[in-house]
Amino acid sequence: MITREDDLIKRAAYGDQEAFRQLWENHHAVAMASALRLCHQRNLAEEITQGAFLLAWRGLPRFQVGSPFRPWLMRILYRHALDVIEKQRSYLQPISLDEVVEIESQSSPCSPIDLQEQICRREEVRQALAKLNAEQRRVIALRYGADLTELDIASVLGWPVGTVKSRLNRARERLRTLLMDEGCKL
Amino acid sequence: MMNEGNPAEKEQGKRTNLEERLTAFYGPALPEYPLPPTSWQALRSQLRGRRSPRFRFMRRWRLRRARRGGRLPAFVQTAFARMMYEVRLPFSASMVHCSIRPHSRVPQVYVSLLRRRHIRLQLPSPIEETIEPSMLDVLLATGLARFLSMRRPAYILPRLLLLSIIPFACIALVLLRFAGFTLPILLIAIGLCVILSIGAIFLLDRQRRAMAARADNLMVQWLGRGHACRGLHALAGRYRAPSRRRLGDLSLTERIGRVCGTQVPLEHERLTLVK
Repeated sequence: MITREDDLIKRAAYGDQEAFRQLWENHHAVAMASALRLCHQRNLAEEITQGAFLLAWRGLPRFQVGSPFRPWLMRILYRHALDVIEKQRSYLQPISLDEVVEIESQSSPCSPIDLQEQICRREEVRQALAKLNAEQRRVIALRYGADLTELDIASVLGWPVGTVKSRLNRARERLRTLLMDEGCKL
Repeated sequence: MMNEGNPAEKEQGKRTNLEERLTAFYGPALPEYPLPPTSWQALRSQLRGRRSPRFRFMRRWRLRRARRGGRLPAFVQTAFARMMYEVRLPFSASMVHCSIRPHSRVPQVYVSLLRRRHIRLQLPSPIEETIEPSMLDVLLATGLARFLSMRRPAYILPRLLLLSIIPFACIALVLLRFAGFTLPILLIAIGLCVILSIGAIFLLDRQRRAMAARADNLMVQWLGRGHACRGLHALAGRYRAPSRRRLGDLSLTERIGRVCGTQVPLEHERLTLVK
């Protein structure tokens, strides 16, 4: 049975921009939320979302109609987000209070004192993450920033599951050591 | 309550702490974060580059056709039409077959009387950026001049005669073999056939080179010496070894020596295409 989304995908694969706009309308808000959770910067998240949709547009002729669209799109988004974050070294930039206030207000509002404390603790983690290597940062981001299982991480990154597990364990070990040494440096 | 003395529990406590801190760092999953309509406009402006599969298929098909030699590119057609007008010959685009060689940087022209399209032009890709007008004029004029020179009976008849020597020699050898001649006589006959064939090839080469030289004279008359010389030098810039020559052809260095030097008679020179 061909669903409405399959029809949109088919039309978009043939270059119909209106059909692709419909797909954008249906999925961009979720994609943007996921990108924002990974990078914590609104402008960068918007850039990542647009980039992921552009990649999806180019890849649509190869998309297998009938299979679910959102997991496919999210795989593209995660891969693209990690590439962009590593390329722009956004993990080196301190967390902005304004950005956090804006993002937190979307989920659970909290008092300014709590927020200050949260930012302080996040900043410690960010500094520790910045000291990991790129592969370790990728697995950590997908595990805790996208809530993916080790199997899903393996499929997104194209690594064997064993490699994902070992890199995740090593990354955790290193983070644990780093976080024990570090204090809040706000 | 956690027992602080137990290392396993201590380890478990550390792990939980790290998990919590990482989860807190990334924050809870946001349900949705809609973007303003301008975001779609920005994305849409980048979508224009992609075409439908049908369009891509047609483009690949057109490129393949162009490589094989389909329609003549407009700028080649214009240059050829202008040349035919200057030479006072009826223009026919069907005389020229143009094909694209993407991995080559040297444009070539071949002439054949037996093919339906007598002048075969091979151009590198992208064409317009790599071909200078003087170079294209020289290629087309060379092709046309050689075609006109080759069409004359004075060229065709001796050539046919020389070409027929080789099959005749082979047939003679087979007949001698079946007539029961001894091995020494056969060896002498083979030797004679080889000498005859080499001689025929040498004469064919000379004849074709003479024809190429005559064609260059015509080219200079049509294009003018300056333009022809410019085109030949531009061509030479593309060759790795301009002094190397193919069988039955003049090398580019020889052609430059003849055209840009004084070996082409000056009295016929007519600056037709050089304005």
